[in-house]
Amino acid sequence: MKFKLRSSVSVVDSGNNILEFFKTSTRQSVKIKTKDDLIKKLVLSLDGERDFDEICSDLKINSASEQLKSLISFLEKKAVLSHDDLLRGREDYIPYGRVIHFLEDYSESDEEMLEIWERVRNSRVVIIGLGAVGTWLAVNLAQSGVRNFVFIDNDKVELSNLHRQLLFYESDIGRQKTDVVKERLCFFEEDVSVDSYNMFLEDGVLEKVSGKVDLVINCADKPSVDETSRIVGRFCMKKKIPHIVGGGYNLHLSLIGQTVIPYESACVNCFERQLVKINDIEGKRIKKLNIKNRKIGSFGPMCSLIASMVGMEAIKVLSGKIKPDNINRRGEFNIYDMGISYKDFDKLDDCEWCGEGR
Amino acid sequence: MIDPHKIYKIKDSIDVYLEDDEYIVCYFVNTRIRKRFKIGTAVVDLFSLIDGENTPEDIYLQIVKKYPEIERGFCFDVLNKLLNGRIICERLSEHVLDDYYLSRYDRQINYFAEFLGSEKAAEEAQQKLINTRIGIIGCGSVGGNIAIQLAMAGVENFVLMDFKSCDLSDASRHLFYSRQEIGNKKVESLSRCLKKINSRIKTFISYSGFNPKTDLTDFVSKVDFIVNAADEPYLGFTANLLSQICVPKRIPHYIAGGFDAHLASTGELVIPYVTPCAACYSTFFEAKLKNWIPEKHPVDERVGEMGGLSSMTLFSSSFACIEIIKFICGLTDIEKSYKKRGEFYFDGMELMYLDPERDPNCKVCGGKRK
Repeated sequence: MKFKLRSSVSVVDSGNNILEFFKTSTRQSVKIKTKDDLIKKLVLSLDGERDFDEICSDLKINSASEQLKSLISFLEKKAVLSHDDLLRGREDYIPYGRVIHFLEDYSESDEEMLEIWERVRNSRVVIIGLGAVGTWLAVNLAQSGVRNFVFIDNDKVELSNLHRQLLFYESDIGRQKTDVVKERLCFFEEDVSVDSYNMFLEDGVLEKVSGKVDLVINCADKPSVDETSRIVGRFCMKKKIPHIVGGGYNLHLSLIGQTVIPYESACVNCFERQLVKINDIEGKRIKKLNIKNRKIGSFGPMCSLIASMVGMEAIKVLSGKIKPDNINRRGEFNIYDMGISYKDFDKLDDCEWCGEGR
Repeated sequence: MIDPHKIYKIKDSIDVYLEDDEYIVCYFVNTRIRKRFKIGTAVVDLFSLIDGENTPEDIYLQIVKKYPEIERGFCFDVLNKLLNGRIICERLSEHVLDDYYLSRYDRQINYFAEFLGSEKAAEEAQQKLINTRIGIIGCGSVGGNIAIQLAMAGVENFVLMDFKSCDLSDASRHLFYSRQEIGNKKVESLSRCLKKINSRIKTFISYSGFNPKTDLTDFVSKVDFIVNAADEPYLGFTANLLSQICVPKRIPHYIAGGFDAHLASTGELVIPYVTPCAACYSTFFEAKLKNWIPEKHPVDERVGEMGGLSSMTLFSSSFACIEIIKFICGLTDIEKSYKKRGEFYFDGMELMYLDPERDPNCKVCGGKRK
C-alpha cells in the first residue's frame, strides 16, 4: 500500500501537540492532536513512492495498529492523503489535472474525486445570453472540464461588445455569437458539444432544448433580467433543474445572483416577493420618469468578476458534492470599497411556485 | 456651477423615479447608490426638461410659464444641487475621442462618467487608458488574463515578459490557450491574441525570466505601469524584486494574486510612497506567520499537482483590472481608497481583507514622503 501526502497540503506543527494540515487550494484546515513526534515523521514520509509498511518499519511503528489505521483513514477522508495511482495515465490528467486536484479537497477518497470529476465532465449546461457574463462563463466552465453546452442567444457580434465580452475578435464582427463561441471553445477542448439556439429567450424557447440538462444559467437581460429570470425559474422548477441568476449585466452590474436548487432553496418567485418588500415598493405609487436619449454604462472587469463567482457556484452545483453558497441569498459587489455584501432570503412556505401555494 | 447657456442632461446611468408624487428618487444603476429628495410638482416638470436639449435658461423660461411663482434663483439652485450631486452633467459638444473609439468604448465611457461627473472627463479617462503603456511580467494564467482584460478595456501598448512556452496543461488555465499554440512561446501566443482583439495594439516582447540578475532597464523605460504575475520561485520573491526597482523610480505596479497558494487572492496595487510596497507586505507576513512554518513536503515536484479553477484566476485578474483602471483613469481617489490584499474564499464566497500598513523602516519605501 502506498500513500501520498497531497501536494496541495502544507503541514504545520503548531506546537501544543497540534499538527495542522492546510489545504492551500481551498484554505481549509484539518488539525489533529498527537503527542507522538513519530506521527509527524510518518506523515512527512508519505511521498506516494515508498511502501507504507516499509516506511512504518523504518520508523519502528506498528503499521497494523488499529489506532494508526483509523488515523490514516481519517486523513484520507479529510483529503489530506491520497493513493495517487488512480490519476496517473489518465488522458485528461494533463489538461485538467489542476481542476481534478482542486476537487480532491472535497473528496473522501480518490475514487470519489474521480466520480465528482466525471460528473462535471459529463454535465450539460445551458447558458442563456452570450454577453458580458455569458461569454466569460462559457470559457470558465469549458476550462473546468465541462464539455456539453447549450447556448441561447440571437445577437451578432458588434464592435461595442469587444470591451466586455470575451472570445470575440475584431474579425468576428457581424458573425452570430453562438457560432463564434462554439468555435473558440474548440480551441480549448476538441471534444466539446454545443447546441445553439439562435433566438432570444421568451416563453417556450427552453422547451425546445432536448436532452438532459444539469444546470441553467441566466445571463440574459432582454427584455429585462426580471422577466428572463422568471421564464428560466418557471421552466426549471417544472423540470427540477438547478439554475443560477447570473447578474453582472445591464443595470445589474454588481449583482451576484442567487443559485436555486428547486424545492430545496428559495426560488425566483420567493426572491421576487421578498424583493418587492425590501425595495419598499408595496403600497407606494412609483412612476419611472422617462429620460430621453439614454445610454447605459458597462464595465468589463466588473462583469467578469461577477462571472467568476457564477463560475464557482456552477462547479459546486455540477459537482453534486460541494454545497453552493448563494442559495437563499444574493450579493452585491461595491466598486467603491471593493466589498461584497449579501442579503438573505427565505424559502416561502406559501410560495406559488415551490410552496403550499402551488 | 451651472452655466446658463450650456446644455445639461440627466446622467445616462441614473434611473429617476417619482414616489407618491412627492419624492424624486435617483438610483445610480451601476453603483446602486440611491438619492431621495422631497420635491414639489414644479421640480418634476423641471426634471423632464433636463433632456440634453435645453439650457438652464430655456428650462427656467419654460418653468416660469407654467409656474409664475418660481424664481430664476430657485431653478438654478436646483440645477446646481443636481450637478453637485452628479445627477446631471454637461452635454459634450466637442468630443475628445474620434468616432471609432466612441463606438467601441461607448458603454465603458458611460460607466466612467458616473465616477467623473462629466462626459468630457470620461472620454479623457478612456484616452488615458488607451495611451498607457503596460508591462506584464509573467504571462501565464493571471498575467495573461490581466493583459487580455486591459486590452479589451482599451490599452494599446504592452510589454510582455515570459520565458515559458504553451503546453497542454495550460488548457485549464490560460485564456489565450489554443491547441494550435502548444509549443509556442507564451508571450507570442498572448501577443497574437491581444492583436486579434484590437488590431491597433502594439506589443514588445521579452523572452526573459524574472530573477535578481534580470536587467529591467529597457523594460522599465517602455512602460508606465507594471503588473507582476511571475510566481517563480514564488510570488513574494518576484514582488520584492519589482518593488525594489519600481519604488525609487516611482513606477506604480500591481502585485497580482490568483495562482498556486494565492488562488482567488486579490493582489495589491503599489503606489510608491503611498501604499505599502511588496517589502512592507513581506515584513507584515513575516510577523503574521512567524509561528506558521510549513514542514518540508515529502513530494518533490508539487507545483504540477496544485489545484485551481480558472474562475478563481478570473476573480483575481478582474479585481486587479478594476483597481488598475480606477488608478489609471482616476475614477476614485485611489490614494485614499486603495485596497490592501484580500482573499476570496471559494467556500462561503466571502472576501476578507488583511490590514498591513506601510512599514516606516521599510528598506524600499520607508522614511520618505511623497
